Amino acid sequence: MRVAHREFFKNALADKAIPGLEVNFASINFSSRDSVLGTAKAFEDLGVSAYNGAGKLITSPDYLLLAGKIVSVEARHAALIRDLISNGSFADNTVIDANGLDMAKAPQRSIGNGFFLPEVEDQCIQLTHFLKHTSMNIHHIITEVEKVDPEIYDRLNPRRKVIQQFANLGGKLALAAVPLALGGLFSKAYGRGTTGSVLDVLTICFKAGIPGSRVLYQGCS
Amino acid sequence: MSGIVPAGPPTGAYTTIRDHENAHVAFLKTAITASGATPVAKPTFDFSAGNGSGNGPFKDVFTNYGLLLAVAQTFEDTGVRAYKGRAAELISNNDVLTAALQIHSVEARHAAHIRYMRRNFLSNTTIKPWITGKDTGAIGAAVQASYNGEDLTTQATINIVNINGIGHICECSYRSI
Repeated sequence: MRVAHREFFKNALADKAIPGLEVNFASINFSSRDSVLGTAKAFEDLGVSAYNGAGKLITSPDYLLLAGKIVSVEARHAALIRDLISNGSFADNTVIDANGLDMAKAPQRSIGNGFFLPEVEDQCIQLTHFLKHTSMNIHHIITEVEKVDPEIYDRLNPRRKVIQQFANLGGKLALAAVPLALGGLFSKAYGRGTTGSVLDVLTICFKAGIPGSRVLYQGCS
Repeated sequence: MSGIVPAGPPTGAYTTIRDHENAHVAFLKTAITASGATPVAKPTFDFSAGNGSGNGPFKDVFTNYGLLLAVAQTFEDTGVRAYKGRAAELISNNDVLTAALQIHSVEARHAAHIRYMRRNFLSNTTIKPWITGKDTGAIGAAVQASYNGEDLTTQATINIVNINGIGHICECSYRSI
């Protein structure tokens, strides 16, 4: 589904679309249901909060509606992943505040400085930039979830055909330190489930998209 | 409805959702008042879907747990669509738009969980946390109007079926309106 989201934006943006980015998942234990689901939860919740926070940057009513269509699916995914981890945690107080509001993180907060390409003014492209990255990440995770969780396999089977380019990451990256940093942060963030570190991870992810680092995109769709 | 929702996780979930909805009402009342307007009075509902008769297809909603879940699912799914559909009207007010989006995604989480509860209660694995096409999720014709249009396959002039060779991706409220 997220691949579809990404591909949709790619088509909508045509030549304005930004190339994708690969991420190192080496430190996630894909044989551990808890590790995989915990990572998926972090990405899902962050995706929801990022869309919520970025909505105000969208000036086109049509694109706003489309973003809304995507975020509600992300929220449903987040709820399911959370329930699979702990039934009833679909909207607990770690993501919903006292006013009953889900999180909303403005792009600068959710993905850190360097997210916005200075030469890119189109707000929709900024949103897409985020989308493309998270969509690739999430789909790999969901694929792995399917392997360890028959229940979710049953539900997500139609979308198993997803990103297959996560191997050989180091060979494709000129900046070897980046995936190493990612790996360390993933371990730190998701091994213990601290949300602050999750944001750090995403900050690094999207900083990789700043001008001058385009080599990072090599080999990506 | 106390008494028909099983103790444990179901009651816990209902409590969570109820608290959120109460918080939303309070939040919206405060926001509307602060903007100089007056909140409308609490509307009346015919939860039986009987157009005010109280004798519609869901007349046993408060004594039949399965019906209660079905009505709850329809309300939540409809709520998601409603917030989404009117968001564009808030585009000039960033604070209000953001708050509406924050409520919107909470409603989606609620909808997903209610659907998960129905899936388990009915032992029906065709019921999923998200909307598939315009399917009502085994509720039936009484709520079909709430799901019509969910099966759109063209978004912003782009056909999303088999998009860029990714395969069929129809299973999503991505298509909701």
